[in-house]
Amino acid sequence: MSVRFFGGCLIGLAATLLTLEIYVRLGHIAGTSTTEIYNDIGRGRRANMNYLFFNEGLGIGRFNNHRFIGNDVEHARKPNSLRIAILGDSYVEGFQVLNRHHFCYITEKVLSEQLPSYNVEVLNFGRSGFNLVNMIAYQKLMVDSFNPDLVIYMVSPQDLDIKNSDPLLPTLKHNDGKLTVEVARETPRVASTRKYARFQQQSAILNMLGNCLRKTRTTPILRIVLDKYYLAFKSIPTNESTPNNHKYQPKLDSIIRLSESVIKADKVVLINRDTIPWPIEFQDALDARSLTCWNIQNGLDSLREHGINPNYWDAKSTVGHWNMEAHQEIGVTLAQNIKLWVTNNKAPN
Amino acid sequence: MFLGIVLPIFYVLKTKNNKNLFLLFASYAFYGYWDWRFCGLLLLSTLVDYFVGQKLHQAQKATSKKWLLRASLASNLGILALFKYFNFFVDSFQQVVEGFGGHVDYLHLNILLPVGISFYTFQTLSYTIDIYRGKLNPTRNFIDFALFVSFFPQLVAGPIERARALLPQLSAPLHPSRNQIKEGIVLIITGLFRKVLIGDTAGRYVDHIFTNLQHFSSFEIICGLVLFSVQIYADFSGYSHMARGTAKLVGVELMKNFEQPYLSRNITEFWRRWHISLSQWLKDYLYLSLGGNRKGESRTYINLMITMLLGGLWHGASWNFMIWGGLHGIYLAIHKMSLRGKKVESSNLSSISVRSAAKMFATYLLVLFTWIFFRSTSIETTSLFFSKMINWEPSNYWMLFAGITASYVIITVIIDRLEYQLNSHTFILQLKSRGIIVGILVGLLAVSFIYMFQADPLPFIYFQF
Repeated sequence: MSVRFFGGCLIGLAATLLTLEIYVRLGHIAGTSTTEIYNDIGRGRRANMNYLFFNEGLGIGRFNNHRFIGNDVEHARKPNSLRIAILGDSYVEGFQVLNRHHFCYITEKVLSEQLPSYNVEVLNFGRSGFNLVNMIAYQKLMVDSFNPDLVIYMVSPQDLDIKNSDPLLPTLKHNDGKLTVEVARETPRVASTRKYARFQQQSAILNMLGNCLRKTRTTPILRIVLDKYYLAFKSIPTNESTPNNHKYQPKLDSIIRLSESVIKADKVVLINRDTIPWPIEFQDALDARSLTCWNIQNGLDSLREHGINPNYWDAKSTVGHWNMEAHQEIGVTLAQNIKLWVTNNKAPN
Repeated sequence: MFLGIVLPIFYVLKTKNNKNLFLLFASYAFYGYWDWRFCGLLLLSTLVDYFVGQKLHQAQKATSKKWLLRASLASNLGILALFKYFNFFVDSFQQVVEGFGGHVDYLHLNILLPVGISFYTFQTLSYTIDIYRGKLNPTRNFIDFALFVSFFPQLVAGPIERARALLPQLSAPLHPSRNQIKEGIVLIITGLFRKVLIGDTAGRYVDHIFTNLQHFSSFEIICGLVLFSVQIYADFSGYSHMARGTAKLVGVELMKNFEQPYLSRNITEFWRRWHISLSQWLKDYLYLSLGGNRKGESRTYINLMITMLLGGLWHGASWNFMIWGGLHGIYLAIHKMSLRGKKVESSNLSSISVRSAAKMFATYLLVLFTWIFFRSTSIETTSLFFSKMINWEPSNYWMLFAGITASYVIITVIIDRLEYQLNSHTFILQLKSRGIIVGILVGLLAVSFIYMFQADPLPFIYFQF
């Protein structure tokens, strides 16, 4: 094997990878990394970036100038504005649907028609992987700077598990009876994540490679390769949400208590986005603080009565996040609730 | 992985019989991986046609030969009809009866469609029909014949090989040449690239759009349709490449199944370039058996329509496929009428005039229209599609969808143009530098594998047939 041969290999490989990189990007086969590690909010979305995702559904949208999904928005509010901020996890962020099918968009559209005297803005602060603690931290770091009239937390029993799944997400720390927000401290791990993220941001192919590595952390390689002939010697942990999976953690109570400056009864509403009820201790904690809870399940129940599973995706024949029909129902239900809240509470800004 | 186990063992085996026996075992293991129960069906089809072939050759009387052929046709088509079409005809009959106010007791069988049944059934029928017509002598070697029926590279999705072409190769010792191995590797890698990075990726858009047509706007749906035309071509031609490549690695030459069909200037040429093995099978064993063009003009068109309708039905037990086939039948009939006896010349794409390009585009649009029926899962989906064309809805993502669609179309056209220009599916081998060839292949393979590893692969479209 001569030098000429190896040289040819490198040239052929480089030309092919470059061509495929262009094709993969233009065809949106894969994108570059959507996240960046920021000093102010830890791992966040990349500003002014269009995205196209395939998971259960096809999601198309944009991260705006403030690094969350939606159109560009300014901190300063327009005259007669009604600004609603919604916090939650991947169900709220909603990468599975086109932006125009997202419940935030639908809520904004319906409210704009029903409250024509207001400039309605529904801001989607949902983030995949967030739990309740991440959401509270995010409200302090980011959401409050937009001075919303109403903050809606969409919380499932799963989100009450306060163990931080990603140390680069903003979280809360208990210091001398006070809660402080902590974002990614500059540890060796964070530094290497930043370095790696830079590569993933430059190349769609490298991003795919990163996804492969991530997949091998959760799924044994042999399982992927051997498919149905893989014999699982270990039971695979289920993500299924059952009433017994989510034990209430007493620490959460102190977090809610200390977050009273953030979670104000007149400005915050909580919604259980799951069909499984919250632990009774959590409900009691909310009741003790006179925090309002809304219900969106009636809209989803009407879908179920018509034989439509709000979590079923025909294209992939799989159950997962809310589908387009669910987003439509939630958008309309939320708009009804917000309209009632405005009628009872809101003084024009 | 399968090839990684089969090929080394194949190369180590010395005698022709051992090699064929091993390939037969590997083929049944390959087929059984999907569902071992249907290996019995494959074996039954093999046994019936093997013995019918022997008896056909021995039979002296024309009536005996006819009855033997009928036995082969009845058993093969009977199995196909039961597994593939029983529920379709029963449900259609029930709908008709209920349309007239009657009632029929519901009879619907829960039958799993065996993978590849449409392909290997046609393949074994070609054997018995050719013996009947005196074009072929039967083989006395059961292993060779069983391998002809079950040969794993082309068992589940073609190409549908003729016994005249494949049996002599299997009857001779299989020693792949150096060129075959090189071409085989190139075909497997480029086929995988086509299937995975063009077909599967286009298919993601298609699946989401066609399953949720009501949620997508008119322009987005049109892009979905164009992407489907890319998906089905890339998926099927990619598979055919891999099948040919795998066969070459064991020293067998399979026929080409696709020859740049979207570069056809008319519909007749399209059917000489698209799914060539099926269209030739239908022409030789159905169209010509019906009389072809030998029984007058109107009978010619009737024969053409019947052939294409049945060709549509071969793809699936649904009225959508029959409509698809029927439309192609109409196109072919109209084109034939317009030719008035003139022969259709093959395209010369070395220089494309504006007129040729316009003809290619027009042919593509005609074919694209038929893909609506092929892809739609139901009459309701088809109706919704047309309703969205009539009641045009604007899209705020039109530029995005246009860009995506254009990228898929461009890569398909570039690859096809190179294949045609260089007259080879393995045109990469014509590069002067071996190093560059290896670099290109490594790049294609690496990115295909990376994509496959992190995404869920889509099944081959033609597996469902």
